[in-house]
Amino acid sequence: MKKICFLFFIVVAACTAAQNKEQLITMNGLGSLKLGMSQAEVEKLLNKKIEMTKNYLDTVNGSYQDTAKTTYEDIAVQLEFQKSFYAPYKFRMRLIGIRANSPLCKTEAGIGVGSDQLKIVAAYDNYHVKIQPGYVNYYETEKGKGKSTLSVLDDAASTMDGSDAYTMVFYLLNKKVVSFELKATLKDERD
Amino acid sequence: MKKILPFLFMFLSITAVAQNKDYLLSLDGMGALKLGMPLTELEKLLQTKVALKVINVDPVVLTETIKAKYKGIDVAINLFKRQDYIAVDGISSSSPLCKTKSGIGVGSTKLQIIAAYDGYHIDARPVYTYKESDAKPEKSKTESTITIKEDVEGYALVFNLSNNKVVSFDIIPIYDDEE
Repeated sequence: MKKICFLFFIVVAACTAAQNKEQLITMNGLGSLKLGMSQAEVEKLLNKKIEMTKNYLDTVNGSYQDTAKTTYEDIAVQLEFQKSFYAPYKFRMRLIGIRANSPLCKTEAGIGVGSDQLKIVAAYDNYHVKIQPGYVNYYETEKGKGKSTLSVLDDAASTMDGSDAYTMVFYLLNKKVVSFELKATLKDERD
Repeated sequence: MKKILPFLFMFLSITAVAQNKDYLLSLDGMGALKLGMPLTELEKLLQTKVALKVINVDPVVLTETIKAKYKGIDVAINLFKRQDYIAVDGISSSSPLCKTKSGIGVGSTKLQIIAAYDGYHIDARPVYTYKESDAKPEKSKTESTITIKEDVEGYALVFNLSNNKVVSFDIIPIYDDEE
């Protein structure tokens, strides 16, 4: 009985550890989920079919973007895909955005939900950092007391040199991170 | 002698406050020196006639930078020729006498600036050098700028930093398509 209990404890502990696995936030992805992946690659990684959200940017309606809500390693994520042509009239959907608010996601320097604005600025010292009032989402800004958006741009995003560009966006409330989004501007696959 | 000392102290305090106001940095200028100020007013303030070498000489060029003394400190002033008058379009200096209301000036750190401008649009970026037209820009490891604006567009206070400390500043108008 003692042996069974011990084994049971190990299994439960291992399962818990796997469930609470921290995911590394980098400029180009979250853990193994990388910006630029095709929808097929993402589905293979997640081991599930991705259902796109019907919205005004929906590809079905002839536009170029789609979003999907799913989970990655038990973390709720919102994924954004963009139509990417790789040959005449042939396209695939590629991952250009990952949004989450799980405290399990952290950068190498430990930046994540709850981190302070100045800690982020200090951690990304030689990067281009933008701080804007409100929650900036494309061309719309959600205003509100204490709301701000802090973006960390890589060199390509800062200089718009034409290569794949990555931006890490932190949404803050009273200068503390409440959620984040990783964004990519990918160069044309046909170039 | 005892009676003179308080008066002397008061006089020195008033002078110091007046000087601080003269060098007070804001998004629209420094002390009485303001962006948009007509050249005629600028000349009155500087108590000197500005000799233009480009504007009004070359009909195509509408901008000119002049070097001047404002209340004893060196400043560079950009002028812009508008339809019917010439106006101040930029102010630059590296004088340690110039400070914002919260005390930001030459020597202040990047984190101090960001903490002081809560609720503003802040853009802190390294300086990139474009050496060849087709080469990728080179990022400086020591030089950077921090731009402070009230909105997406408008007057801005730009701090130039070396090793994360302010060495000079510019007050300029910034429009969205210039960023």
